[in-house]
Amino acid sequence: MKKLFLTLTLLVLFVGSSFAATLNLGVASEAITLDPYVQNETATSSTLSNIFDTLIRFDADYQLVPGLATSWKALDNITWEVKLRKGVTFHNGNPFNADDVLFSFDRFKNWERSGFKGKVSSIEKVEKKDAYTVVFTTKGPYPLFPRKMTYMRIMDQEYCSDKTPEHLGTHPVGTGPYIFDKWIKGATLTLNANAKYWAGVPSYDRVVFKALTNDSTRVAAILSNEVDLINRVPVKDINRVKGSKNFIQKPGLRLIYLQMDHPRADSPYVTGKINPFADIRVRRAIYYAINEDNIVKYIMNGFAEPAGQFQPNVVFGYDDSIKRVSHDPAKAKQLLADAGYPDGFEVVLDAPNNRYINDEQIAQAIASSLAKVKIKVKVNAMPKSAYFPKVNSSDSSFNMLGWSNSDGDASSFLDACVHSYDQDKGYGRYNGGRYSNPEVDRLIEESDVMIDQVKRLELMKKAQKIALQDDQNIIPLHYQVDLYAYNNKINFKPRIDSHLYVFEMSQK
Amino acid sequence: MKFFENEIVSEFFEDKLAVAGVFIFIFFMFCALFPAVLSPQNPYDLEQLFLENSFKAPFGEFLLGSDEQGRDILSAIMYGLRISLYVGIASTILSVLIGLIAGLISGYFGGIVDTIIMRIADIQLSFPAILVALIIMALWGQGVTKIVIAITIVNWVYYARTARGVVLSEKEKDYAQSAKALGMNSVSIMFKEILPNIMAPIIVIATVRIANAIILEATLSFLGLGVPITEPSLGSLISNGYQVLFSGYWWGSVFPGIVLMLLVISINLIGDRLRDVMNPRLKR
Repeated sequence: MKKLFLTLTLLVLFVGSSFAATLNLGVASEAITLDPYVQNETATSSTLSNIFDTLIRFDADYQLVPGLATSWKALDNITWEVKLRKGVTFHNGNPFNADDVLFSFDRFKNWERSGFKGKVSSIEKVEKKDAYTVVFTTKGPYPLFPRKMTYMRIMDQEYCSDKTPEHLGTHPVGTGPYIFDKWIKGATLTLNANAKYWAGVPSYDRVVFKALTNDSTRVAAILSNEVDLINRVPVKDINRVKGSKNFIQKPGLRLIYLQMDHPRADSPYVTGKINPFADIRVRRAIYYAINEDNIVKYIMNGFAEPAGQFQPNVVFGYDDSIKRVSHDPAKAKQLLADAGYPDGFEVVLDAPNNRYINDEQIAQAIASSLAKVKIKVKVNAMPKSAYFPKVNSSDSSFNMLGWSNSDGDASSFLDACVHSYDQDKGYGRYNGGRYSNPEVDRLIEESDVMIDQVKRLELMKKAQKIALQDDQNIIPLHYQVDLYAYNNKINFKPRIDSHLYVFEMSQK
Repeated sequence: MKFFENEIVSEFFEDKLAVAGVFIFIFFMFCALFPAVLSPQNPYDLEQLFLENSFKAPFGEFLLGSDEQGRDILSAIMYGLRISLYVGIASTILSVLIGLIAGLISGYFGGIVDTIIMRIADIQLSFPAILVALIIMALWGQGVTKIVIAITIVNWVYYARTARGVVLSEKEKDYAQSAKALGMNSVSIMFKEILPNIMAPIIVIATVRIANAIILEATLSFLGLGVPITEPSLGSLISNGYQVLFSGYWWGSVFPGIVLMLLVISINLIGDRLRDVMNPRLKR
C-alpha cells in the first residue's frame, strides 16, 4: 500500500512537471533595466519583446506586421492614422486603448531619461481620434514612420501613473505573451505565460532567462542540459557543441568596420605631422590590404560574412552592384607609394576587447595584414566602457566599430555614420571619423523625406556609392553571424534582430 | 679555481638540486638575453605572422604550436621570458634598494621615524600583495615600467622589515658602538659598517622574492592588468592561451605555464640553498 502510494505520488509529480513546460534560456548578457524606454540595447530589447507589444513589429523575416495596431496608413504627407486592436488587456487586467498610446508616446519622446528620443525626433505629436484610433503627425514627410514604431513598447497609463521610475524598471506590466514574475539581477529573470494573450496561448508556461556571461559557463550549461538554448556560442567552442546539440547560425544585422580620421591635418595617433588618412589612396590601400577572407576563416572560424557595404542584404537599401574588393597587397603598396608613403607609416588602432565577437583578435589580424604593406599598426584594445567615450570624443585616428541596423533600413547607418556631423539636425551622431561630403549629405537628407519608396531606394544607393566607392569613408570588414545552440526539445528559428522572442518558439 | 675557494660558493655547489637550479636558470637567462638569435620567429614582427598558420598543433612545423594569429609559441615564450625576468629582477633590485634604505634608517634612528616607516609597512602588509598591485595597475594602466614600479611598491616592505630587525641587533654590537665613539657620522656607520653585515639575509630573501615578483607579474598579466598585449610576458601568454584552452588548443597555455613553473622552481632551489649556506645557525 505504501509502495503504491509512493509510486502514485512520483507519477503525479512526473506528469505534473512535464505539463508545466519551462523553457530555460542561457543568455550572454542580461537586460540592463526592464523599463522599455531607458536604453536601446539588444539584450534589453530581446527580454522586453516577450513582455511588451509594439504597435507595429518585425516578423521573423523582418517584414513589418501588425502588433497592437491592426492597420496604419498615411492620410497625407505628414499624418499617419493607426487603428488599434480591440479587446486587448494588460497583464494587470487594465484594457488597452488610445490613451495608453498617447501616454506611451509622450513618455517615449519627452521623458528625460528616455534613450529613444532620437527614434521619434521626426514625429511631432499623436492625437486620439476615438478610443481605438490615433493619428500621428510628423515634422515633414517621413517614410520611416512604421519602422520607428517598432521601438515603442506600449505601457499602461493607469499602472504607470503612480509608480516611481525605479519601480517601473523592475516591475514591468505590458500586453505581451509573457507576464513578468521575478528578476534576480545577475542571475535569473522569470516570466509566466499570458493565457489571455491576443495572438494565442504561448507554448511555454514559464520562461527563465539565465544570465551566463562567461563563455565557458554558457557552453557548459547547454552541454549539461541545464538550459535549453544559449545564444552567442563562442566560435572556438562550436565543435564541442555541434556533436550533441543543434547548432544554428543566422547572419545578423551588425556590420564590423574600420573608421579613419578624415579631416584633421594632424591626427593624434599617427606618427608624423601629416594625416595619411586624408588621402583617398591611403584609405583605398587599406581596403585592398586587409585579408578579410582569412580573418573570417581563421579568427571567426568561418562564422561571419565578408562585408562589401554598409548593410547586409536583408536591409532595405542594399545595393547588389557594390562588391567587396579582393585582397590585393601589391595594389595596396602601389596606392601607398603613389600617395607618398612607399615605406608606410605608423598608427594606433583603437579597438574594444569585450564588445564584438573576437574584437581584439580581429584588430590584431588587421595589424598583421597592414604590416605586409608596411603600415605599422599598434593595437590599443580596451574594455568598451573606456573605448566608446574615447572614440566618441574623436580621441582616435583609426578605430574598429560595429553598427547594428535594427531599423532594417539603410538610413540607419547613412544618417548616423555617413552624413556630416551636425548636432542641430541630429545627423552624423556616430560619424567619429568626421567624413563629410555635401553631395552625400544632400542625398541622405532628400531620401529621408522621400515617401516614394522606389525613388528613396535610388537616393540611398547613390549616397552609399559615393561615400563608399568614391570616397572610401570607412573600411567594411564583415557582418557578424549570430550563433545559437539548442537541444532537441524545442523548435527554434533565430531572428535577424537577435531577439529571443519566445512566442515564436515551441515544444517538440 | 679561485672561484671555488670561497667557502660559501663551494658549499653552495655541494647540493645537486641547487646546481640543477643554477643550470636551468642560466639556460633561461640565456634564452631571455638572446631571443633574436635563438627563436625561429620574431613574434613582435607582424610582417612574419600569417593567419594561415593559425592554431597549428605542436611538434610539427611549429615545435610548440602556434596561436590564433599564427605566432610561434616557442618564440613567444623566449621573448616572454625576457619580459618576465626583466620585471622580476628589476623590481627586486629596486625594492631591495628602497627597502634597505628604509630599514636602515628605521632601525638605526628608531623613535618617530621608525614608527612611521614601520606602520606604513604594517598597513601595507595587512592587504594581500595582489590586491595592492591590482589597485596600482588599475589606476595607472598597463606598461612594463608601471608594473615594475607596482611590484616594487608591494615588495619593498619585506626588505625594510628584515633590514630593520638586523640593524636593531647590529647597531648595539661593539664594532658599531666603537665607530660611533670614534666620531663617525651616522650615514657612514649605517652604510660602511652596518650594511655589509646585514646583506646575507637580504640576499637570501631577494632571491626567493624574485620568483615571487615573477609570479605576481604573471598573475597581473593573466588578469589583463599587467604588461600590454604587444609585449607579452609568460603570464599574458598563459592568459591568451587560456581563452581557447577548452576548445582543444591546449598548447598556448600549457607550454608557457611549464616554463614559468620551471623558472620559479629553479630560482627557489637557488634561494633555498643560499639560505642554508649563508645562515650560520644551520651550520654543523
